[in-house]
Amino acid sequence: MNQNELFEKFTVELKNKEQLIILLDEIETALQFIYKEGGGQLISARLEGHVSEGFLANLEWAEKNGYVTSELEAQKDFFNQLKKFAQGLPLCKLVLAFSPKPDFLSKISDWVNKEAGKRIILDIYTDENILAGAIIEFEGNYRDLSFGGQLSEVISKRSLI
Amino acid sequence: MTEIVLIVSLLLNILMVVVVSYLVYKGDQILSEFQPFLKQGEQARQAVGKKANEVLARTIGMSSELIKNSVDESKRNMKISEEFRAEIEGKMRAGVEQTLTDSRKVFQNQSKDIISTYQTMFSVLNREVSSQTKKKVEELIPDLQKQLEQVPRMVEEKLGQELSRVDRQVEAYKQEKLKQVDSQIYQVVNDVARATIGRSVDISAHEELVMEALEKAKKENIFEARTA
Repeated sequence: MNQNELFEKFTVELKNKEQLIILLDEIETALQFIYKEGGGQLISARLEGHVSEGFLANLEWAEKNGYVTSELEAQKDFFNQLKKFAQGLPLCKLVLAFSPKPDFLSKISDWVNKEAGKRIILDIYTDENILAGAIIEFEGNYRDLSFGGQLSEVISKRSLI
Repeated sequence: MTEIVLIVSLLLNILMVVVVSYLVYKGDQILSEFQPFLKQGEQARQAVGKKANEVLARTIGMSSELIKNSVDESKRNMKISEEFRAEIEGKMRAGVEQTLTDSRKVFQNQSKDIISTYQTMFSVLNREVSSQTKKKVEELIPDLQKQLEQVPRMVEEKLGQELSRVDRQVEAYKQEKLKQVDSQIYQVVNDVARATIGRSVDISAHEELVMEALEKAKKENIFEARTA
């Protein structure tokens, strides 16, 4: 397993930006614990109770398979690289007329990842004014496919005077 | 003049008194020196005294006469001075009046000459200016005609520009008003739509519409940049 595949393991469950922020916070916490008392040991043991179970499980797996050692600089380098990888994940901004439930969020995420061919983090916003449909923004491309947008377009094309 | 005559008269009187006093003194001295001849001298003295009294009386008379004459002379001189002054004043007044008259005449004559000279100069200048003005006007007439011919075209152009500017302003105003009306209409429609469509669409329909939007975005290749 190369480094990117290892980092994919840490980020595979990420669906939206809120989850990405939580992961980045956990990485910062881990970086702070490297040089705290007890340094030199496996860091997963010291992080227990301070990070999520999923993050901890992935970290233990990485330690067990030798990707993360007890050496302080190596730990620091690992978490910095993981942070850089997570920050580099592409974002897809979606504006919806309602707040999506987790299962629908997963459905959208899977669909986007599948269509894009790689991991995409959804940045979801809610705006009832768009009525229905979605506004999609990805890597500089913008599409207003909402009912509100279509309504505005129709109104703007009409000659009212 | 009068004062000088008075002073001289007084000085003569004083001199006369001094001379008489001196003579009296000298006579007494001679009498005392010639005591032995007193008796003879008494007679002589009496004679001299008598003579002296006579001299004195004559001297006083002469002095009075002199004083009287001096006063009279002074009065006469004063009178002459008054007359002379009056005469001088009269002459001076006459002279001044004559000078004024002469000056007035000279001034009038010179003014007349100056006015005449200026009238001549203005007349010449006027003719010259009129001539130059006429010449200038004749030179300007062709240009003026050209400019006047251009006036209608300039006015037309200016009006055209002004009309164009007003049209643009009206169009901008119209567009602004259209935007405002559109915005108001959109707001009303949006409010109505939110109150009707938004509430009437259930979650499953919303989710379906989102997936349709994603499919449409996929067809429009919105995710292409990512795969590239």
